[in-house]
Amino acid sequence: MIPVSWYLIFSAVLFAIGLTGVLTRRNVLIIFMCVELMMNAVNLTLVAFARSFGTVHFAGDAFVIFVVTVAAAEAAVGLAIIVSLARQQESIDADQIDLLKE
Amino acid sequence: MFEAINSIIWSLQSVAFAEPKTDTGLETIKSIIWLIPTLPLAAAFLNGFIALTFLRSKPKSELTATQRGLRYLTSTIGILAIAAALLVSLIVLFFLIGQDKEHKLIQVENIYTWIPSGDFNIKVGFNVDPLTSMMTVVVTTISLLVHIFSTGYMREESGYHRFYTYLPFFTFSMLGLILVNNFLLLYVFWEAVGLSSYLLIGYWFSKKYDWGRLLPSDASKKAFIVNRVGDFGFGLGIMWIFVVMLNHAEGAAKGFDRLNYQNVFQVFEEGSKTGAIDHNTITIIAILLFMGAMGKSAQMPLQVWLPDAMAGPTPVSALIHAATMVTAGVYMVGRVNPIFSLSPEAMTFVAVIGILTAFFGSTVGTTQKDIKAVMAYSTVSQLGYMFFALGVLGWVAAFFHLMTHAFFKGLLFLGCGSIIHSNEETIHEALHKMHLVVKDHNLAEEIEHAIHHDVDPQDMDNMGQLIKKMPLTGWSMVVGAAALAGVPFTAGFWSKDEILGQAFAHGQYPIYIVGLFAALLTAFYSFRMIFSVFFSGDYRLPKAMNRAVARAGGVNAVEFVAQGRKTKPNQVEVIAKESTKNMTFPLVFLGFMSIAAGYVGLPRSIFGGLSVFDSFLEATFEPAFAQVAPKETSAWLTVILLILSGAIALTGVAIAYYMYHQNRDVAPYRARRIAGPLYTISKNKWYFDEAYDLLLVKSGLLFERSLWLFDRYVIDGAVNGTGWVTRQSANYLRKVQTGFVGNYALYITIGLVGVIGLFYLINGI
Amino acid sequence: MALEQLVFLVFALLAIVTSLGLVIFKDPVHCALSLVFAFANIAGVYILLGAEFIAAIQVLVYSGAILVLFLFVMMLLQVRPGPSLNRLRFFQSGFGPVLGVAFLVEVVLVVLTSGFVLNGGNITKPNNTQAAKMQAGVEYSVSVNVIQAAGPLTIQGKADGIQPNTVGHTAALGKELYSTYLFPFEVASIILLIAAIGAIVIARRSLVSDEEEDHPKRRGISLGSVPAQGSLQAFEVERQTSQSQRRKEAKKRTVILKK
Repeated sequence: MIPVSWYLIFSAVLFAIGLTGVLTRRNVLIIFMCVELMMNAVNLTLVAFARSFGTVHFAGDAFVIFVVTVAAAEAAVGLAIIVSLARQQESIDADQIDLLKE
Repeated sequence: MFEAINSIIWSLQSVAFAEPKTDTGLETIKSIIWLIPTLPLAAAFLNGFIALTFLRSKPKSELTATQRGLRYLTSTIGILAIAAALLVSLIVLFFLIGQDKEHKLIQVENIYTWIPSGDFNIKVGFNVDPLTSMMTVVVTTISLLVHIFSTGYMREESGYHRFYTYLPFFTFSMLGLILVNNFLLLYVFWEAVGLSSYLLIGYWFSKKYDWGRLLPSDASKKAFIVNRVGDFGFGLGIMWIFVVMLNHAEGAAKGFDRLNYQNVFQVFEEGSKTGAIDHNTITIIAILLFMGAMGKSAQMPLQVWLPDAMAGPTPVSALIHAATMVTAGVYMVGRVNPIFSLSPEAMTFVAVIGILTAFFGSTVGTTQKDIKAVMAYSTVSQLGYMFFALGVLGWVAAFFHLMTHAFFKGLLFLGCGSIIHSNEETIHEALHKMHLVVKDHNLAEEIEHAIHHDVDPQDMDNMGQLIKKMPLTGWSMVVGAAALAGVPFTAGFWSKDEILGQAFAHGQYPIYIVGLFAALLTAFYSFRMIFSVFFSGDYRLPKAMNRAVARAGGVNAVEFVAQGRKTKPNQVEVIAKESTKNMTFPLVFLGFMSIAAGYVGLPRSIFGGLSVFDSFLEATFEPAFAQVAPKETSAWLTVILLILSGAIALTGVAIAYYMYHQNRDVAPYRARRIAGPLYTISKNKWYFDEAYDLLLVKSGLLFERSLWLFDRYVIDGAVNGTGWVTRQSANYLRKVQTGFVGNYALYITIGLVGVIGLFYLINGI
Repeated sequence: MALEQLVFLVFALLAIVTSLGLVIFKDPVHCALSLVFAFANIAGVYILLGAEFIAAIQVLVYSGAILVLFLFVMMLLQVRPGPSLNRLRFFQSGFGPVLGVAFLVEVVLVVLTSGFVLNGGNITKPNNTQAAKMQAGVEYSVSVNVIQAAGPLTIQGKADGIQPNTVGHTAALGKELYSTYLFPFEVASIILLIAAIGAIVIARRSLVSDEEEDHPKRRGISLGSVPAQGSLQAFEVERQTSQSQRRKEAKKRTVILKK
């Protein structure tokens, strides 16, 4: 018997690690991977909550499926953006691109 | 929403895969009702797509062959869609006729939950009963005929396809208004018909001169704004109904539609019986709802928009501003009869407004020069008849008159359209030839300007003796005018007499007498129009053009036309010609209906079971009849009343003949001498527009001026001050924006951690 | 400690350690491989939750598809380390871990003080009484988790008398997805389609790419090396040079600042 809190704390740890990665790393690719990790942590809580609220409904599980779908779509578009970024700016370093300012 | 769409998907699947049902009748009818409004909507979308993608608003002469084909495709699509809707409506009508009294209500419920929100649930559905069914048939019939007529009337228009986008859209809105089963949707479609009316009145929005009438662009705005006044009350009424439903429908199941007709009627009936709902509340709700009807159906004092709405193309006037949309108010009161019948005070109010309007419209109609203005005031007056019929509890009589009126007034308007079209073509042709003959450019310009300004194709003074040139138009309009006047054995005779008979039966003698007097005036003005347009004197349009040309210093306008047609100048009377078949066919058909439609609702006390209309529509008004049982005059009294109203109508016709058949130029002076100031009042439409201008517009401007000063110094000061502060602070704050994504992530994280931390600081761990 | 909990801890610790690797490793390829491990371990945790289908998805989509895509992109792009223009870099690198830990502490506090722990909030496992409560024709039911169903590792299964279910998590979830969530499900497929199109459009090479310009054939055809004024080509070239110039200037600026 595993208490829900274990799952929640576990996913909190994963989320915090991902968050730290987003803040500290400079490579856009790695930042992106950290975001994927954070998303996974959230998925985990969704399933854990779904189980703790009963077994008849699958709202949490279904939600995870949609999150995974969107994550896949996001990965495709995001990587495409990174590729075109690398081509145009000759860099994928988050600290060398300040186009948002313009 | 997901649930709703899911349910649609499932229902589609179940339709596709379901086994054929055994009780085909009702289920089949239920499954085809949605086609009635959807077909015109589809046509509107398709035409709009074609118009926007391929045609835009190029003049006809600049279009390629393909584009011309597409142009005619739009009208064909419109006509076919409406014809199909008419077919479906007829199927539903005959199905309903075949049902016995208890089963005359078909409810197609819960097609789709539009707003599922706690206590506020709106479910889209259809409510089909005899009244609905009768209205859909009338609307689709008139709409079909108008669609056909317009292929001729709008032939040369550069906005032909635009017209054929709006017209099916209007038909869709009107059918939606009739078919829906709940108050909020009723309001939605109520506004949708208003919108399409606005678009169609302003069809010639770029017109700069309209012979002293209000310009289409202004008229459309006026119609919309005046309707706002009524709709304000209508909206309040619906909100109040919702509040009452919230308080009195306890224990309602989840998803209970508090604005569904049947639910509302049930609660109101029970609430009124037990005294749970205050009687005054019901009265106020009924009067608020009636305010909407006053706006939409042009009842006093909100009638001012309808005559100006004639700025739209004439087929539009026929369809929207005579036969269908303006009767939406009557329909609404009939539909909500279970609430109205609970409050005798509200019914009295309806009756008084109705009779005042009927009287007003008929007096103004007697003196107008513009043929469409006569018809417009006639419509106002006839709508007044319908409302006082409702007010004296002659429910069925009102709708009988609504139906016959739709036919004969549609006919009269289309007939006007035919005449105006012929006049416009004559003017157009004269101008065309003039440009070929007159070489001097400046003079040609001046002549054209003079003709455009001085020769009004709608002015009855420019017509006369048209019966010889336009026999089909002429004789069908004579039939229509006879029906309007109530000449014996036409449709209008039976329906108007039933209204007056109901007033008599319910003991409303003052209303009966005023109604009879209005009927006299109605007969007079309708035949005044007929005699001056078709029979008296000679055809005046060439003379008017000659006068205009002479003033501009040119030569004889008639000669231009004559040259164009290779005839001699002294044979110019052939220049007015009958309209093409696509325009005369609807006229003849409606002429037939203007007589035949009366024979479905013959007076019951004489003809008994022959009066199918009464027995058919009774199911709808069951709740009203439960309050006050229907009354009828006895057979002998009915005969006397029939003879009386027939005599009144014939008297009116005789007066018109006496005054207008021979000496129509003298008639206005004679009338002024007899009636004195009354003539002036009638001619100026009782000064309604002037009074509104003084009361609302002028004083409004004064108030607005003071607001402007406030706006200038206080509001503008505050706004500019805000801008200044923002600008100054932004100078410093913009440095925060570095453009690096990481920094933004940092800010977000600090904020996130900070907010959760703050929560703990305040609440403790 | 029950064996189930032990297994959970092993998976969790492995996942945490490998995801720390993602943050710490220098080489992006190492980071990605480390993340693959983390994802695999999270999949293990899903199995403990009785969500086999999601575990499979996790392995297939995340470790399989998405990360392979990442590795491909890494292969395409060569990362040249350059100076940072970000003046807050120090804060980000130094303060970032602190923020991460602070966030973790706060969330753990939320978890510990919320009703989940106080109510004992255990993961509910389906049993026969619950199944009986469900509507007639019991189709929905989460399978007992794989470990229990597998037999030898079962700890409570036999005591509760749970039979391995005939309908598993995958079937039940599938049923749900195709009924209650039918519409969102269809929308999700449209999202994927749009994303695929979008990715192609975004990543497509511009009309004139470097390789094409270098292509000998093309060079032979083109008249002179300078593109015509006002052409798209000229615009591209101009934009690229101006951008690289700007970057070089910026680099110089930072160098001066550092001095």
